[in-house]
Amino acid sequence: MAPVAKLSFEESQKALMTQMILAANGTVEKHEIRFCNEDVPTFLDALEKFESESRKTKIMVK
Amino acid sequence: MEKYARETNDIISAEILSIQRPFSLFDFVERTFPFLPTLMNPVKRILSQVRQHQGKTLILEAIENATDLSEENEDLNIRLRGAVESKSYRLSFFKKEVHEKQQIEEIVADDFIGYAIIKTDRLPSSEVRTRIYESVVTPSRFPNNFIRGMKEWRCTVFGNKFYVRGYLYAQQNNLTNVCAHVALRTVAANYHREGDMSYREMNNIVGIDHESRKVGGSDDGLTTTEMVKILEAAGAKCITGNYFGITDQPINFQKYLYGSIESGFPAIVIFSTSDGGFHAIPVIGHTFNEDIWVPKADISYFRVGPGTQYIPSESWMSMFIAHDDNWGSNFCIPRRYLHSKRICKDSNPLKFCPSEGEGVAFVISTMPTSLKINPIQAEVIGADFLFSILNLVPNGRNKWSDRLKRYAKSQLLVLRPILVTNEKYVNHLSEISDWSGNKIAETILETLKLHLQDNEYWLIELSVPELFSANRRKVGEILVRSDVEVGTERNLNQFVMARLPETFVLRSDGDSQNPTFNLIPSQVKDHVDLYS
Repeated sequence: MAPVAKLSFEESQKALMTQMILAANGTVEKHEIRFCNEDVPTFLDALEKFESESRKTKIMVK
Repeated sequence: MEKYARETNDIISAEILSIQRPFSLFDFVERTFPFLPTLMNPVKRILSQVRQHQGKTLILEAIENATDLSEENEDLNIRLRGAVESKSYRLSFFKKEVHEKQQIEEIVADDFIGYAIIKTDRLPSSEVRTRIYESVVTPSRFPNNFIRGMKEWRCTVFGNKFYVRGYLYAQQNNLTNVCAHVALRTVAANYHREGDMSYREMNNIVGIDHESRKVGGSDDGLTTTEMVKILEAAGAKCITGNYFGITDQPINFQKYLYGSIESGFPAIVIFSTSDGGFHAIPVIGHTFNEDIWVPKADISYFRVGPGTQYIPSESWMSMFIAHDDNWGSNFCIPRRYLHSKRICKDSNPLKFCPSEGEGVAFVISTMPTSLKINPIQAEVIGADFLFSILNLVPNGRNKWSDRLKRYAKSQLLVLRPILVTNEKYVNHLSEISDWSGNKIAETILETLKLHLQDNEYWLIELSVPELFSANRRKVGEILVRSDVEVGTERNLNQFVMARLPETFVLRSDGDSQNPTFNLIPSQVKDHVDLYS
């Protein structure tokens, strides 16, 4: 039997969605979402800076 | 020669002690280990836990010939430029009454409470120091204690193997290792290829040879950057937070600790002491108090930004469970007892003084290197998707979806991040049922089993305060990938799927500005059990 190529994340997500729609056996609705704000990207940026600055900190522990 | 003192078969002498009342463990400690301090004595803490477990037998073995002990003695000899005389004892604790050596074979696994290796060193100066070289004691099984990620430790008693689950506790010798080393040992054991990391290996990594660079006493300790280096050499990924002299931290230190321990990854907290030094302790678990009042107060909100606020699940955590090498193992430390900011004594008006003594100065949380997203990042990414997806569900369709929207508007949604595998997630879905007993359809579960990629995911659970705390139930969840780096921009590839009342949500198409999602019907109409 030929080896099965590993699906990419996108491919497996597509397969998951198609099969979930079939398995659900009901009405599927498609909606566009709008993200409420930019709070999370801004926060993640600040968090990354805080964590990388913290890595440079040298506190002597004994 | 056995590698570890806990496993050595070289026994010089042994004694079986029945420790039931009126046997006094205080008398035993003071008689057997006269060089231990009467007060501030971690051996007494270990034995107190044995009492909690209704321990009936203590076996005391004088042991020799273990690589770990020999290695430490060699390093002490170099450090002190003279020969150290050392004696070690292995104490093992059992719930069953034993009178003779042969009866040990009849002991079942659950009867073994744990062990302690006690080492006495006579230094070249003739000073005698006794300490707990290491110990693992089963944590007490209080229903509100959550200690995840415990390893199994093998211990030999009279040639018989016993196993105990827990986090290893150790005391520093303050000559070749300090509190930082013993805290690292507790944490590193969860990642190291051999399941335990020796002090010599740690010292080699950072260039401590006990000649040109020494630790302990008036010499060095380990810096926080060295601690991270050692943990990373052991195989951990570290996330650090500096709280010393910093006034503007994006999150509190508790969040780093909780994020780590809730998924079974131990962490280290470092706090400043009144003598101007810094002390490290490993944090291994937490307690959960469902009746805590704090989540209703402002202090418990987690503010990602002006439009994104919620209550993190750690608000119901009342204690951290930690070891402290000065005091012993498996202690509960009240969450609010540890703080990173204090009011400056003489400030007028009053102001926070982050460099004031005895505050939390630094935290190191850990996770496996395979994870690219840490629990805090996962939680806020989950919040970003969830808050937006909630608006997709039309009003009036499901009363719990409507409720969720009202709670979201009042910033009262509860989010809880936990790491799961695809297999564990699908298994969880197969077990849950809503308040009326409705379960997720087999066809959906089979589809998820087949098509959800084999991986670890961050599961961000969504609930409301009353339901989460008292009933330990949730209304929905989102699955976020753990293997994608967090960039500076929103990444839709981090989203895997979400589940809300009567609905699964999967991404359909559209670009990052206008993504579209499919709402797929689900039989589960309201709340279900949390993942545990």
